[in-house]
Amino acid sequence: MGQKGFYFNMLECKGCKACQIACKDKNDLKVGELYRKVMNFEGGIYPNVGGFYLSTSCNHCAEAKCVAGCPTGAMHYAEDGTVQHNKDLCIGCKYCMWNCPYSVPQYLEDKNIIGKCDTCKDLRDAGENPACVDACPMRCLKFGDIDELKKEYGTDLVNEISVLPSAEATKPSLLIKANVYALDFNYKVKEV
Amino acid sequence: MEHLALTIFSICVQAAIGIMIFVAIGRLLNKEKIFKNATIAATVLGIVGAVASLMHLGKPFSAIKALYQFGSSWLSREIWFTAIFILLAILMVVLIYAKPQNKSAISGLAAAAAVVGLIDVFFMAAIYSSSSVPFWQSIATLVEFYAATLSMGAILFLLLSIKEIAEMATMKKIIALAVALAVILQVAAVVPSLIALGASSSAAAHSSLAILGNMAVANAFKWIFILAGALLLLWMVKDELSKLVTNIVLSSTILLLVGQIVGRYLFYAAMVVTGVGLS
Repeated sequence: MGQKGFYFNMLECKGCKACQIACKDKNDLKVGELYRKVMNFEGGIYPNVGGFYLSTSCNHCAEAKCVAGCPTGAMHYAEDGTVQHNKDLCIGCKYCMWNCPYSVPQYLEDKNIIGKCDTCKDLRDAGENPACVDACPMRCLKFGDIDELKKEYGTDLVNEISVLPSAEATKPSLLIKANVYALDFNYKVKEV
Repeated sequence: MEHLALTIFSICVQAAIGIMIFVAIGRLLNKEKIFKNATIAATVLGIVGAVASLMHLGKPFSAIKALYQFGSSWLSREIWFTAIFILLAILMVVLIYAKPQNKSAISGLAAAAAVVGLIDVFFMAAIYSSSSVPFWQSIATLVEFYAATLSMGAILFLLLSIKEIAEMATMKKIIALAVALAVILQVAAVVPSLIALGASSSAAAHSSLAILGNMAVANAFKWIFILAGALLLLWMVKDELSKLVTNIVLSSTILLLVGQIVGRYLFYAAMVVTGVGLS
């Protein structure tokens, strides 16, 4: 079974946050907890301004630091290469929160354990898409075999843009069709 | 509360390990000396530290599960070695009371606990330096942890065994040298690491520096207290005929301990993890 991951088409994303809300609803997350987040970055000086939206979640890294660091084995790889979290093993030590370079794992105050995107494993097992994928009105998000997604959506896909940590550290299973501003590492952007 | 639990844990366990190192050295130099107070203090500090570490967990009663991943997790390794260290220390205390005549066994346990403790400090530092927190990712983390272990251990050992080592000139020299070396290394490691942090392009690194900047008074207290404690000790044992004055040893101990505790709190408080937009 090949490595599974998300594809995100930045060129089409309008920042509507439907994916973020669908994820929050599906996982019944409380105020302040998000497993998927849509961020808006802008930069430049008028009239040369630019920016982009980024829908970001767990990148299900092939060399995940959260998995390597977890003292209990709660963070683990599933057969499809996605990073899954066993709630019964988690002791809420928060070490994964220090380890993940994308700051993905969230501490769930009401449960005293960590939570994160599980790619809606239950929906996928039932033959459906993750909630975020089906919620996107622009069809910017896809989930599937990384190699097949690459074949389908082109060769100009990247797993690292200017606002993301280096992909070298954890090998994120993420494919982004990025715009010129996101690809320019010298172009300074700020989250707005 | 979270920073406090980890500060208490790391300070207590490192102080306990430091004391045990000097108990082992002391017993090596003079087998007749028991160093009972120091051994008991190391054991109690280790236990207090272990209990404090549980306060950091969301599910403290499931803490045993943290032993499952020794092969891959620095945190799991640290917990194993901390547990072994405390067990060895408890065994020592039991032997000191039950079979004090078995001196070689007690010395052997002290040496074993000291070695386990030294490895444990390495694991503790690796937890932080391997994380995604730029502020922690330097050699300064390792140096600061060993420096805190040695300086706190040496001074607490001196305070707790002041009568037993009054005539041990070599031991006094070793203690003074250990404190001096530890503090010099600590200063030497921290300065370049802060410069590197400032030169870093990481927004998370700059955020940590901004936090440290906001807590500059606490940072100044850390260094003033550590340096004052070390200098006071060195001044007292400046020559072989120097006598150990309890009040000066106590003052030096308090200064050094307060400095290391404040420093450790800052270590946790200035933590900023990289993230999207903070790379």
